[in-house]
Amino acid sequence: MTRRIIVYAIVLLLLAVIGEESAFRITLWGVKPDLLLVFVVVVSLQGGPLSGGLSALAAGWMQAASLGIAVGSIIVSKAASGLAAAQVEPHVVKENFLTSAPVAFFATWVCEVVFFIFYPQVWGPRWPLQVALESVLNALVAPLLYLVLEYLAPRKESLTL
Amino acid sequence: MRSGRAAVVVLVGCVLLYFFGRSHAGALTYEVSVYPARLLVGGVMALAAHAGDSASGGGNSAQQVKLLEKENALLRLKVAELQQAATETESLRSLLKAREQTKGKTLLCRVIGRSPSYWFHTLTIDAGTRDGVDDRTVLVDGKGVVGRVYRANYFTSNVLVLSGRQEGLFSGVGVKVERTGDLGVVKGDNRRELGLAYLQPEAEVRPGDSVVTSGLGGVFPTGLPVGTVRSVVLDQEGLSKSGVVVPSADLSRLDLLLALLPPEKAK
Repeated sequence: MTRRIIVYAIVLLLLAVIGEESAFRITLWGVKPDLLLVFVVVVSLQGGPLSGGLSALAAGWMQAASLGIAVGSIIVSKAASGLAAAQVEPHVVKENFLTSAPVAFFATWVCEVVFFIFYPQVWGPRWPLQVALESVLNALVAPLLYLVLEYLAPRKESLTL
Repeated sequence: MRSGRAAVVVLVGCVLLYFFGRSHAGALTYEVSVYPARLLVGGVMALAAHAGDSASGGGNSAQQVKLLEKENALLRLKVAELQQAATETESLRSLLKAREQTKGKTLLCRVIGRSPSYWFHTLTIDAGTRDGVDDRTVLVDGKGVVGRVYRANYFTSNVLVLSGRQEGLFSGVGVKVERTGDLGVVKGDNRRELGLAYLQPEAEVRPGDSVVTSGLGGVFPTGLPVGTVRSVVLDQEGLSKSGVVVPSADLSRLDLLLALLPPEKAK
């Protein structure tokens, strides 16, 4: 458990910096994947609602503190996406890493819609297209991060009848 | 049951983090916590860049070819280093020129991050309040205005780029068309180009005209290059003209910047 928390914390810090760093200055039509959101989705799937909720809070705070703009909106939208992913978790075959892709796609829409509700200034004619593209990018990144986290901090779930 | 407990924890956490995230303590905590990760990621990326530059093709097994390939790789590495140095020298030279044209104190700083969210056009620079930066600090590169600091932390600062749109932070830059002296306001809209607004209907502005800061508003000093007019049209109501300005600074490729420090804060 402790190892998982440490691994999650280190991965979260790295993703926060990678998201800011130059490798991700390269965007696809002005859009880039939200690595912290993908992290939240994967942790929700692997760890359940509480882990998902806490990771969402941590990720939301990281992004909000990094930007210093729309602090509350960012935290709430990340938290909502974490809870949404956690709601899905009992109903999907979460052991399959590919499951994280559609969940990430869904969670991205939840996150962006909630963010838009709290922070409508982001609206523009390209908003739906940008969110759709981000959803696809996040869905592509999610299985990779799932495998990485599964390798670094494997789940040890007991089978209960 | 599990979901309900998680929802309560998240709700309480949201409220607490909201206040913490807005505070200076929150910003400082973030700076300190990501510092090791910044060092690590920065180092890995520098190594990757060198490896990419020095990579060379070929699968010949002959000893001499291997030696030549090795030498070639080393030379490529050297060339990449020299090119990097030349780029930096060029950048520094243009910044020096900009510095000479500026009256106040300046500070050379580097861009260390960009907005993690594509909704915001922001940068993070490696200078903060300890260096004299505050939320009136303006950033320029060798070609023109880049933006202004909207939050100065202790070690780093967040900069809103000219092309960013951010209600409550940045209502635009007061500008003057250099050739005609007409006044207007340049506003970002989260696009590469800038909007030019509030020109008088009789303003004789035309594509190709240079736009510089007017100094009105008190934040941006007078005469800093902002961009070049691409198009101008009379608004539907006929009360003013508006247009599009191409920024002088290459806002998508920013590395070394010059911070124009407020006089009393300059060290």
